[in-house]
Amino acid sequence: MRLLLATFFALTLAGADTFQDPKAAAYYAEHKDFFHFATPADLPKDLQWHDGQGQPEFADPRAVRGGTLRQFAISTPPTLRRVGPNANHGFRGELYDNNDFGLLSGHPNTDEPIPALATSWALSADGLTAYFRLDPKAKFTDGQPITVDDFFYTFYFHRSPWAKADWYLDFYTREWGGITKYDDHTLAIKAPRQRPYQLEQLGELRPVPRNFFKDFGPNYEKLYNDRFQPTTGAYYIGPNGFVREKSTTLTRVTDWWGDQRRFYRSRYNPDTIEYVVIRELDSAYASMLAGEIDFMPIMMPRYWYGTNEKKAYQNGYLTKAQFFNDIPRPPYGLYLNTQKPGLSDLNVRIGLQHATDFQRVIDGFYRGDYERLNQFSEGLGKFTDPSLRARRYSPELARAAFARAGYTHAGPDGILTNAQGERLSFRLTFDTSDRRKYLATLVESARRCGVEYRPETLEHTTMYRKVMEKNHDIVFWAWSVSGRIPALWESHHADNALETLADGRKVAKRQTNNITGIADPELSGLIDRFRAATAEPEMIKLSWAMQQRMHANADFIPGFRVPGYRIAHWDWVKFPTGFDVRSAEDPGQYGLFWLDPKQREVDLQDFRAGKVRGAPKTVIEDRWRAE
Amino acid sequence: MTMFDPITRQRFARFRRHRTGWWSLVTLLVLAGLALLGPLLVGNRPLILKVDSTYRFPVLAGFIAGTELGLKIEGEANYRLLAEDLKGNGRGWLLLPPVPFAADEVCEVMPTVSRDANGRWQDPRGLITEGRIFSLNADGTRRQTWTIINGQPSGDARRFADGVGVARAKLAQGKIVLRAPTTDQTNWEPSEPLRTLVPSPCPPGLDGHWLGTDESGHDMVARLFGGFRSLLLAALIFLPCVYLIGLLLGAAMGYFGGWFDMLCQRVLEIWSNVPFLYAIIFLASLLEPSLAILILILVAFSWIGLAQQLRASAYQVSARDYVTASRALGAGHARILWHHILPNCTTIILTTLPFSLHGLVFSLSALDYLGFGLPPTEPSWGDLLHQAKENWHAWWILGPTLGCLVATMVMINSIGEALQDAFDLRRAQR
Repeated sequence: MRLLLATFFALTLAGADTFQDPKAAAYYAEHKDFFHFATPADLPKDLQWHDGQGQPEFADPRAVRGGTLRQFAISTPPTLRRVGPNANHGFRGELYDNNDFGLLSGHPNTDEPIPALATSWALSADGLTAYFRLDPKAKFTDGQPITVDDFFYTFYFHRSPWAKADWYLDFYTREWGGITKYDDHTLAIKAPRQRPYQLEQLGELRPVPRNFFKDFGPNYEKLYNDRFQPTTGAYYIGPNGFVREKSTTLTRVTDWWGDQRRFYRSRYNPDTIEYVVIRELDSAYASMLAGEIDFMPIMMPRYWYGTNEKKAYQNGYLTKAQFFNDIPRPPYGLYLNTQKPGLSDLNVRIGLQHATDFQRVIDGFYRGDYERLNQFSEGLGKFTDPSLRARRYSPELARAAFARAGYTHAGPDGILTNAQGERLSFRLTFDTSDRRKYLATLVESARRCGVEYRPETLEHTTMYRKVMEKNHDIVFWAWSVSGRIPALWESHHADNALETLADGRKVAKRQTNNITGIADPELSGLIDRFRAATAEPEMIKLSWAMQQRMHANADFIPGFRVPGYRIAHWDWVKFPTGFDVRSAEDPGQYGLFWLDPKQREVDLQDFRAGKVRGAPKTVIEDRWRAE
Repeated sequence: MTMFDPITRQRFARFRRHRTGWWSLVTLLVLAGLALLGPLLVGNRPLILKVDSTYRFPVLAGFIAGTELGLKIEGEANYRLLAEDLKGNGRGWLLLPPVPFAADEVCEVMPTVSRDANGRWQDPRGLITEGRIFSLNADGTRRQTWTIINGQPSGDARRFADGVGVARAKLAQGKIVLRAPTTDQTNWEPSEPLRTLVPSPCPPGLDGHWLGTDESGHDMVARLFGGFRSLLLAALIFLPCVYLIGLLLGAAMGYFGGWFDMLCQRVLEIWSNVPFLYAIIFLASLLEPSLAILILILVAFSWIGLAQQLRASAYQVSARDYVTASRALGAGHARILWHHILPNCTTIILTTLPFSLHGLVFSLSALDYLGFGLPPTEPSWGDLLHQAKENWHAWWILGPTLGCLVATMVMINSIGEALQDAFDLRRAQR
């Protein structure tokens, strides 16, 4: 039966010039409740179509194309595969995530939907189905036109056991309700349930190039290991673009579909982007100062301030730029494992909040450049309760809280103990990055409050394993953030805190993101209600209530917030007016800068000859600053 | 000297004739003696403290709550600040160690700033090119801060209350161009007294830091001293362990020979082929690094060489007539090993000792340098070298650390050479 169906579909679709995977076709036929085929006549007539053309353009029209952008990477990616084992590496942003478009994009300044692969769209009256018309000129980087079949293929591909991608399997099964094809360039996508920002969520669907996956099968992992999966973006890795442990080179698509389109023209300007492998940050910094790298982030104080003494800056060739913005940032801070003895006591946790002096770290190590984080969900606009403040460092308040928990007696070393003789002592785990350098500050400040932090620095993967096994007491950590509404189920819901063993015992649930082990029924209830809510005022109310509850639980000691990014760039790299857009996390994300290769030659020649070009330049762009 | 036999006396004389070796030994012993004094020399607890006519000895007594001294805090007082207070209010006095900083103490160097003739802000190091000046509240938190570029307030100025930013202004060429919130009425004219932060690593000479501070704000002298102490401690555990295992196993292999020797040899061959550094990195990532664990791992890989050398020596000695003779007289294995074999292997034991020590210093420093060693709060020379690599401009980290490490290595090696000279029979007979 399956074979028959496959043959049938293969025959009906034989007219299209792109490859059709018979196995995929059979899969669609098997899941008729999800994959629908209709005709243009079936399209609802009463739809209100939008095209987002009312939004302002954000790229700089002065931008010119051309040149090679020189960048560095700590290593080459372990695989070029986009999904599957080892595909979740640090380089995938440059390769895929920032270099690919779905049906819609968000306007980086206003957050409103703007066209991407779809040029117009409509949402059904019940808010459950979105309709999209594709740009017929849109192509993958390998030149294959993008049609609705590629969106169908997304589901087939990610749900296949051959892709070996559990997360995607779950995501593409549970977060989508169905897909309908009307013609090659018109489709509808159904949501699994009512959700906030439904159109934006459905518009995130990205096509998978079915033509490229002609040989998709059980040996996908090996077969596609060193092959770049074509994207809808402006760059691809050419046949010689990937030299393991040496360099990765991205090449621009000639006549990219976006070049003719509003919101995409004047962007992604360099012809090639070369990432040379430099293993040490310090060596990369030295290369940048010698002009071998065009720009690099210099977040760390020793680079930002260190640049002042460098010749490239002093003689006016290199510019330091600080770009402020108000997007949600990773919540850096200490995560207390509430399933551990001692830390299960709320008063101890509140005491630790007052005993941990992040302000001293910000003032000293970060030289006052970063800002104190006030709570876990900061930077989410109206969803963030602005009244919540991190508890300030205060030995008196800390000792008062510890006293409430029964820790009243100071031992011979000054560390507080309770009536049972238990010391107020916790293991504090850091990774071996630069941050380990202020561990001593936290340890010393805590000691003044009668708490002992026993410091431990672990190599990053070891620390990750320890935390995922829930073996830590207190860990310095941060989650990456995405989206603009709080997503707390993974990190704060009781579902992810405890599991019941066969013998009825409750133990910390391992391999979940609830690393504080918080199992608060009230908070879990609020999270459930928030996930089901759709009306914005109610969502805001619930969001604030969740945050107040999290603050009261005191299982996260807010650390600091990085209020934007800082880079040093040579002057042949040109940036648009306003430097970057509001949502940007780094200049590469929206690709608004451009190069002047001729100036590069002259500048480098003059710089090496020791000529002085002008006064040192520092650019500060604070249009999108948070406070 | 009469208690030693003539041969020992001869050896000692030969050792003393090796001048560098002899003086190295004397210097190292003196340094080790100083290190034993520990917090009496380097530490932030006073040797003697007299408050309200009561004498206390915090350096021996340990933690003393601030309330006991009539202070408002329940924690331990900062004795350097207390010294100034006591001077002011006449309640007593205190005597701090010569280096009044502890190795794990974080010091923020915050000198007062002043204006030069052109009205530009400067600190004791000179004009502030890019940094912040600030006023402090009584509890040491910041009240108001200004960003200074080339001596002029430029960029951000902020006002805090309870550690929370309540107002911000943006200044350009000394003028206010933006106020946030717009209703803000703060006076943004910097008024003294103001301080600035000299970021760590801080150069020598400020706030009583003879050799400046390291990246985390620890006093460099205290750090070097602490690093030396932990090396000594490591040696005290490491050497006996290595020698106990190495001696016993080596002597047993050489003496018994046969299948026992055969078996041990094969095990040793396999064990010695395990790449030492990789194994240690692997183990250090599995276990929580502490000095004891690091030493144990080092011991596990260090006894092999010694055991092999001792085996060869014991093999040679056990074939001598006097061993056969004592066996014929009915002496047991233990007696023969203890009275005949081991004493005749002293040369090897003593001459390899300094080189084992050398290896230990090197390995511990290398591990800390690579980041697989002790937690960053523990003082270590390897960690300081790592910091020096990341902060080339901080010569006060690189210079003294490298100096200490090289000097220690050279001295240990000289002692080793002197010992070899002293025990070298051929040279003695010449």
